[in-house]
Amino acid sequence: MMDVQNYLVVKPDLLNAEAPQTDISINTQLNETQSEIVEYDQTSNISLITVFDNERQQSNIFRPTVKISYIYENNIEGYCPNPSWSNYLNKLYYTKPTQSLISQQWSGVPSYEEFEFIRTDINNPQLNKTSFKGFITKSSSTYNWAVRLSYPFENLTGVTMSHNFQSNPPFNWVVSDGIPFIISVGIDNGLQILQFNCPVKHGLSIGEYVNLSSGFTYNNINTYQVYSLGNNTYGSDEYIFNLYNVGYTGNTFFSGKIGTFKRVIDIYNTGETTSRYYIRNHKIITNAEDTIITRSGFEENSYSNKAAYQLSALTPNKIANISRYQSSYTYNATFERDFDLSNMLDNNGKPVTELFATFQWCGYFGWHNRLQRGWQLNLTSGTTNNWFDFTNTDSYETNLQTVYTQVERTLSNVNPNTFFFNINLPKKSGDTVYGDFCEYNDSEQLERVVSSYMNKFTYNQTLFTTDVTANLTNPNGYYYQVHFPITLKIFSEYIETAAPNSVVGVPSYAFFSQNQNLWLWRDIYEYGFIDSQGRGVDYPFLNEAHYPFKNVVFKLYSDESSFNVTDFYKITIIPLTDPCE
Amino acid sequence: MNKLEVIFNNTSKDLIIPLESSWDFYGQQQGVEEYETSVIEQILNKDQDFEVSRFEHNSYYTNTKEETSLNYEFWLYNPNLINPNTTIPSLSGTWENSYTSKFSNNEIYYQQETFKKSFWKLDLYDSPSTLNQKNYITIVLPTHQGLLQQIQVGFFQNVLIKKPKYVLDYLGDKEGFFIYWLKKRNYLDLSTFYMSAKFFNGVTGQFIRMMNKPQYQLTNTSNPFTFNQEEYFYYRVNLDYSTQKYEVFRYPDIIRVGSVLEPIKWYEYVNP
Repeated sequence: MMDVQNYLVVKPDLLNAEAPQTDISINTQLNETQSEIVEYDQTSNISLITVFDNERQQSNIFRPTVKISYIYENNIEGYCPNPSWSNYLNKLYYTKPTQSLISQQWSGVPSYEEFEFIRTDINNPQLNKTSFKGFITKSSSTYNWAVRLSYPFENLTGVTMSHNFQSNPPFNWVVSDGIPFIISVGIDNGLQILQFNCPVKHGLSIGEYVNLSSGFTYNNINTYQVYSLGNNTYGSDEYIFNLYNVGYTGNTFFSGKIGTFKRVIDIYNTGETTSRYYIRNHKIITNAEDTIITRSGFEENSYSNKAAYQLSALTPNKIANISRYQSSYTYNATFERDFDLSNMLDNNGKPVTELFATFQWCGYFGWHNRLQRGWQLNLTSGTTNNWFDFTNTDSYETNLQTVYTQVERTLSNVNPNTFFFNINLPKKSGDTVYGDFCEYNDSEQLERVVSSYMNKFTYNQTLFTTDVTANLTNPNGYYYQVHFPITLKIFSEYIETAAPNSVVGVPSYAFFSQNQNLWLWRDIYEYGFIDSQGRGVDYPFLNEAHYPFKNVVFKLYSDESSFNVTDFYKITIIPLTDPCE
Repeated sequence: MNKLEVIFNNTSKDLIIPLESSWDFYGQQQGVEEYETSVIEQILNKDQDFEVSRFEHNSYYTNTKEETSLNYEFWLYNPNLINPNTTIPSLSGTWENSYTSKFSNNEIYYQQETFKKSFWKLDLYDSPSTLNQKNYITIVLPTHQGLLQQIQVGFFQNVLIKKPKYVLDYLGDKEGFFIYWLKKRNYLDLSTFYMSAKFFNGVTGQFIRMMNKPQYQLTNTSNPFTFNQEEYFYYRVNLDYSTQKYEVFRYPDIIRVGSVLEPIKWYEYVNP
């Protein structure tokens, strides 16, 4: 601002007669006035909780830890057929030593080292210097298992699935067709019903609808309302749904007929409320050198270690030893890299809210065949499912394999024998692997796992024959769940809506419902927020990073397990009994 | 600049000078918040990443076999065992790769407290100069690790006891194999450390300083107690952040040590 003053301007020649005519300049002063911001604006209350929470919500860096509580039962017995590879034969735990001594066919099970996440048998000569440069200690945690991180990045809808309904031949369908069922006919509370038995949880509620596959169209209708659930046995309501039999005639519905269904929430809006079914496809994001596997202190699971002293007279090489064939160790897996998940989208185009601990059997010590894949619905309690027959190429896992050889001369053989050992090479960063069989409904904005993805490994029967009557193309083996979710964020329990012209607050992954003329989405809860249902994540945040933790109970399910495998598989088809009866 | 003509008429005159001033309030609030955030960070200290990583001993090849073991040998001075190679009267004893010069055979064999609570202490400094060095990492090697040697205990011949020769690896003796150090370099940017060694003797309760060369091999044989400390008290440890590996070198040489064939050797420093 200019300071207004009075100026007296005198021409030079009037001031002094001799003065020359010159320009006159006036120095003006510009005074700048500053006013301090008011007291309220000057003061800012610092809340450490708020500062911490702001930093926590802004961070997208994750450092996950996975604890692996490993449970298995080393119970698939076998023997080394002649000619025997001595390194296998001499390391067995002999289950029938006296009989074996007579028959000279030594039955047993392999050492616990063949199952562990960290092998400690550094003197094992299996990995010879020609192929492997011997046992490398830093690789001790990679010889048997590979633990990776992955996330689902796309949905596969054209995958062929198969299931054996009791004595029926395998039923094949494409995953996008939905969930399979087999019909039985019965009575519920005096009413005639059609009972649909599913090998997996159907996910239906009473009053919802099912869109049945071709072959179930009656009077040009193939969408029916669910009348009731279950067959009055415990837990059956999750696997069985019933339609009211209004007196259907002909062959549309008959007991034993097999098909698939899709869930429909609103029959007047089938386009948006019909569930989609697919296989999640995962992308691996870590490599072997990223994973650090260590023993979890001295922790062991509740199943005991098993070992036995074997007399020299009762071993094939006449050397006494203490044979340990089962352990109960617990392991930790951490990752050297930090994971920045900003801008990463999952298989449904939403921000990634889950990483997956992905397990793969490698078996560098050569005991096993190629890895196979399937889903829980392909497991049959007490018997080996046809899906895993080697003639079914759909059951082959997509990892690469390699073979190495060992040559050994035995006393009885003049010419040396050559043995071939198979390795399932581990997947690496950028590779893809199948995931769980899932259902997604746009109107609910919710994904549900229908059936978990499983792998199976079996013994190479030419090296270790597991049963005298074994089916060589479908031997018994071990199954394990491949993917275990590590929850990073949680979608809200409620569905948020917004008008079609709304922009602010509508996330990029929102679904626009033509029928409701609304944007639909589920919010992502903030870190540390737990809703009334107990949903939310609240793991440590420090060092500018989140530290999610996952306790994985990693089970090997054996075809010959003595424990019940029905905790993940259940189908009960029994004749319906009317409660009135 | 405008030309102004001032006409003199003996009256006061005012000059009006236009100064354009435009104010833009847009973003002021954001500016205040940004400033506030900056001040808060200065007051509270910005969150730093103190996460540590596991640095592993880098692999090497022994007769074409890839190995990772980190090998230490500690040689303790036994004044009672005459060294025929020395010409220094005050250092006539021998350096042995054994605990027997400091402990009785019984103490070692029966793992008595004096032996059990003794340990090797490896300190990693940022500089070999004692004038300005800081100790950032300490690695302790317990006496219950290590290889074995045969001795006689009482009537028992060929009894196996521990000796100060360590083969540390991913399996077996692991304590002291990994170096746990900051994952990121933005707080402390150190990749070279200088490692010194001491032995805590549970019998005397004192530390014994270790050198990278026995004193009788020093160049100044006339006075082996006066030497350049920087040269004889340290090995150099290099961390590679990209691979999370480390390597150990002789100092001031650049020869890598720690392998099976070239272990890290420490010798007791004998005071005059």
